[in-house]
Amino acid sequence: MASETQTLARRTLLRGAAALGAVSLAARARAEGPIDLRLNGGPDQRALTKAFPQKGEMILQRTRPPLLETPFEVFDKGVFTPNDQFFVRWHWAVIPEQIDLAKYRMAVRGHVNQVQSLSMTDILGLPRFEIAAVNQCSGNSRGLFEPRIAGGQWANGAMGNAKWVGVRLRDVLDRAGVKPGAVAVRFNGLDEPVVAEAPDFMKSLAIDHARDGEVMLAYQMNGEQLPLLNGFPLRLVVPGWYSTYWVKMVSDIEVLDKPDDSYWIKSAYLIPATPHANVKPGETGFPVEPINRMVPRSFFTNVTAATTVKPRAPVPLRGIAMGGDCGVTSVETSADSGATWQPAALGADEGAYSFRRWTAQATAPASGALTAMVRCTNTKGVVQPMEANWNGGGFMRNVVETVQMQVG
Amino acid sequence: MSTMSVLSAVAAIGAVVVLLSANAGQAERNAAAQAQLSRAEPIPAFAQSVNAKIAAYAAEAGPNAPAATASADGVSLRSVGFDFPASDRAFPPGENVDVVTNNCTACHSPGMILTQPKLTAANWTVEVNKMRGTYKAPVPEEAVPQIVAYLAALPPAK
Repeated sequence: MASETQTLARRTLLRGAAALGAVSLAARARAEGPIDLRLNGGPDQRALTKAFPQKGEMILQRTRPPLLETPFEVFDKGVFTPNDQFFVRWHWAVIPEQIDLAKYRMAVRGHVNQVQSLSMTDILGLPRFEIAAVNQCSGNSRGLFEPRIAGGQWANGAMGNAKWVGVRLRDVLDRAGVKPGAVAVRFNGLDEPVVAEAPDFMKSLAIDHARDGEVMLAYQMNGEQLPLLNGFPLRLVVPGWYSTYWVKMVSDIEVLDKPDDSYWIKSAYLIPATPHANVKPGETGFPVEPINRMVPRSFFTNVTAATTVKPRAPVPLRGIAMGGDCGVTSVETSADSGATWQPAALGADEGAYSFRRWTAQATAPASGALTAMVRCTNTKGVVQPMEANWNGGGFMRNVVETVQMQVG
Repeated sequence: MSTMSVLSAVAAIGAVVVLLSANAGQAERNAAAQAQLSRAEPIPAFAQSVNAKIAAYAAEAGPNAPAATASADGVSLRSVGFDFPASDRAFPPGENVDVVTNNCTACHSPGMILTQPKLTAANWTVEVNKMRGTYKAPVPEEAVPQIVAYLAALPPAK
């Protein structure tokens, strides 16, 4: 571990404590806006901010530790999400503000033949691997749940798609030599809790998953080094799985010979082991499991509830879709509340785990409203549900999206 | 402008002045150099592009970036160093707002709380106890009902 980065992390801790009532010379987080996220029951106003390093305009959910949501119009610009508007989510506030590549090291230890301490130069020299994959927060869209749930109150923008370049995790593990009897691999980043006794954020994957050849450690996204807030210099990429596993600023990889019983696997990010991770509010007694694979989703990116359409006019529709843990087979739209569906045209296939562009057209009625729906079916035949799920964590929302546009 | 960019601009002007005065006597050269530097000279174009590059590098790598880089096989990484911004959100006034401010902002800024939907006192009690029990927030037990009372009385912010 780089001791200088830890010293600088303490500087963040002191600033956090000193912020109570003290004037800080740092840039202020709130700049402009507000933007209306249209969350039922509110609060739905959020400031827009450009105050975060390496980030353009972001929806400010929380300053410290940062929760920054991508403004949804960004998803209409292309299938890859620009790094300077890629969403940001940290659990703990002691985040290094400075990374010195001369000092940064990643350890590989535990149930291995040879403990490793790798510099970024070492990692850059390993066989290069590239994959396009959507990174989506487990709680993306939590603000849209009914009834509402405490937690990060995201609209739909806690997700992003990138081309990730780095090394296969398997190649890193093989350098250390995984001993027989290994069951899991646990990842820890440079961030730390403010309170020392709090559970440090770390996640693990089963050993076979870790070695599957797609799980990788990325040092580039969309052709550039990772923004600091997205995990510079190195983050875990787990294609098809929710972002909670995509540990940022990875500094420690521990191979385990016993199941992981740490807090963030055992007691956090648990979903009902039921279809669509769905239960009734107040329901108890259902089995739970750690959140894992993503599910299909699709979105309109060129129209919103604020869009007005001309009577009887053709209305171009376009957006993005994802298969979840596999590719997209089809995207369909409906203008009659789901009674009939028409296939949308699909854009270029950037890989099974990437967003996919889709385009379609509807015709506005003579008056009233045009209500359009979009649904995605993935290559495993799983289709988005017409009814929204509910669970106490506000996880895994993937209901068919609806946009109601006024005719005027 | 940073000190480095000012110095490089001055050095650029100085370099031009020295070249022009090469054939004059030392005293004249000094006088000419002093006159040049005293006037409000526009920064030569090449110095401007150097300044722009320094500014762009600083914007990409940050004002506190260490010098070290790492590269191999066409991928090049630069060390970075930035200052994260501070929150300017404050809790709305109300009874026990000081208890909330003193106990609830060491680990996260007020936005975490102020973006929550309207929660009941029972909901807030669960959340506050999670902060204390799971996340080890050093909140004294006697502060819990005061904190819950304040939070449950919050109208949903706009």
